[in-house]
Amino acid sequence: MDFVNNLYLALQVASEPMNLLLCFIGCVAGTFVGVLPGLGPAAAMSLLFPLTFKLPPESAIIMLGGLYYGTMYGGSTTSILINVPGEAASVVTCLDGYQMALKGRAGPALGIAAFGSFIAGTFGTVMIMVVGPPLAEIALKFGPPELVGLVFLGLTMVTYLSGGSMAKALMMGIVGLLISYVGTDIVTGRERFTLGISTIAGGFDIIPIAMGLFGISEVLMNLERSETAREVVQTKLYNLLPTKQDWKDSSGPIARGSIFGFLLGLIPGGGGLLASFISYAMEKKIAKHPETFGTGDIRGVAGPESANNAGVQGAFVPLLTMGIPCNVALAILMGALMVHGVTPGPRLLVDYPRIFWGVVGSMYIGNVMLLVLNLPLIGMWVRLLKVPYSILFPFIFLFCLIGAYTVGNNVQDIYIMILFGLLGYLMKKYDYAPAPLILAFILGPMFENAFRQSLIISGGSPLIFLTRPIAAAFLLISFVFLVSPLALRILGKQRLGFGLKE
Amino acid sequence: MKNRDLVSSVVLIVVGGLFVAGSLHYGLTRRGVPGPGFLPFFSGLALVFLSLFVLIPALAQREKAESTEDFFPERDSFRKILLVLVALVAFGAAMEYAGYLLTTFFFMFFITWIMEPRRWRAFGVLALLTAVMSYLLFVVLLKVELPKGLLGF
Repeated sequence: MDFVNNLYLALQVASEPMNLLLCFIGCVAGTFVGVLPGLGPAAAMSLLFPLTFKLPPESAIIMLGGLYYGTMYGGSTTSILINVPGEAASVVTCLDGYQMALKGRAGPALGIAAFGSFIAGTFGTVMIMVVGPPLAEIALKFGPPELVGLVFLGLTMVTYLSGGSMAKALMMGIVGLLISYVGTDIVTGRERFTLGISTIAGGFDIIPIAMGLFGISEVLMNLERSETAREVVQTKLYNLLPTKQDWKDSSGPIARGSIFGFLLGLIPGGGGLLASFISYAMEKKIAKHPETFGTGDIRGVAGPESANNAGVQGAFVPLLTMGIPCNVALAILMGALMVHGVTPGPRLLVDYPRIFWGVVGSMYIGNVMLLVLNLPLIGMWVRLLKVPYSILFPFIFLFCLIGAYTVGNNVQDIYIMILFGLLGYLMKKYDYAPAPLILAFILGPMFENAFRQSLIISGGSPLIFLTRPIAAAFLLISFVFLVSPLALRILGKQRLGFGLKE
Repeated sequence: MKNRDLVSSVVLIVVGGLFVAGSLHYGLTRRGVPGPGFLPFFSGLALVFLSLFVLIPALAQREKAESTEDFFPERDSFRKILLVLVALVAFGAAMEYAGYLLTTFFFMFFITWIMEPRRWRAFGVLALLTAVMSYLLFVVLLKVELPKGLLGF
């Protein structure tokens, strides 16, 4: 049976000693980053990415993947203990998690968050194994026009879900595209928009941009204010295990969170964040006594925490089967793969089975590691929270600086990173979302190539996008999303948005 | 906020316009199919177009009483941010001349000093430790190539 064979390969690759170690390092680093407020998965991944240069591609991705799921686990710790989300997807956990902590129930909250995350994560991994290969097969049949439609849809969804002004989000997406145009034109081999500067003759690298936009700018924003002491809930953290009643209450939310979380993760722009919000809303709606939500109801923790981990797994699917990253962290992961010479796409499963299944295998192992890391080591993470930011931030800068340098062993990348750091800082100030920019940047070359190839195939006629049904369908859905905010505003209604300004 | 929208949208209109102008130089079509300037042209155009969605409401609201939302939340902020940026650039500039160790030491020291000038002794020690430990971690253990300065280390 294929499933069993695949599982065997997955676990075999993932349990090679080097990969085990890297997965562990990734998970620890991820939890660490997740626990620390002010440093998100995107920044962390770009920080650690340069360390993966000398590694084989599957090992690099295993480590970065571990980092990514780790942040989801770690983020819940701060949400529950200090009412500050470690990163965006844990915002919802603050609502009931912190209330539970105030009532002396921090232990069970943390416990159910960890267990729920584990169950959901494992479920998501199984789903990837089931859903992945068939999807990749379908995607293999995509030609350039379908790819154009798909990428366009992905970018549209990301801007749609960015919250805030849709016009501004779209503008940032276009800026991302424009930046991706700078460099050498693939088709003609000529330099474009480089103004004669040799550093960018090959175009911009994603790492300095990502580090600048998400790492440096985040720190700059935090540095504006003098630090106020963080109030960590001082409960004695014994009794981490949820009671039988807790389990009974949580089983529904965990199950629903896992399923819907995974499905929502498949949507570009969605991932953990969207999943956790919807899970909370859903649990509240179907609860018999919704009044308890917001006062420390364990269901408000179990559901979203499961959903965001399942969402993370779901988000991997488009990347591994079609080469479309759903969110910023995966865009960086994709950049990492490309630097190693692997271009993710439908052929990933066929050409690089070790990478595909190795990543899947490490998801299983990673989830186990994270469960072990999170519960017993809670005390350690809590102590970490007490380190003042004035000690922390120089290290973040240092990591960024080293990382940027090692991309190409030259100093110009540091300058580029600082430039984008300033840009990201200004963007936050002027209320422009950075996520569409970086996603458009990384998808830009793919988009442009597919677009130009499509028009070569059709001999210059743009009708090809309408005559090929799948491409037309993607484009149609995209237009619906693009136009709907305007239409809704005319009808006087609000559009769905989550304030994703990460 | 509206004033900021005004500024940002104008800036982005200029950016879009630059790409439109530049792309004309590279040629929109070549023998009937899109050339290097094709997508940049339309992207730039789209950027200009979308900026109007931000510019026009900002212009309309300009007459209303401006909420005095400060750009910087604290009086100190501008100085801190500026100094930090200078430090970052200086790090890049100094790396190849002073080498990783020295540059890191001075950088860490300066940065922590900006934020809390009074604890400079403790920070000096921290900077030294950081420089040495990170050197051991990155250069010795991970074999990452970091520059040696003119002094040879």
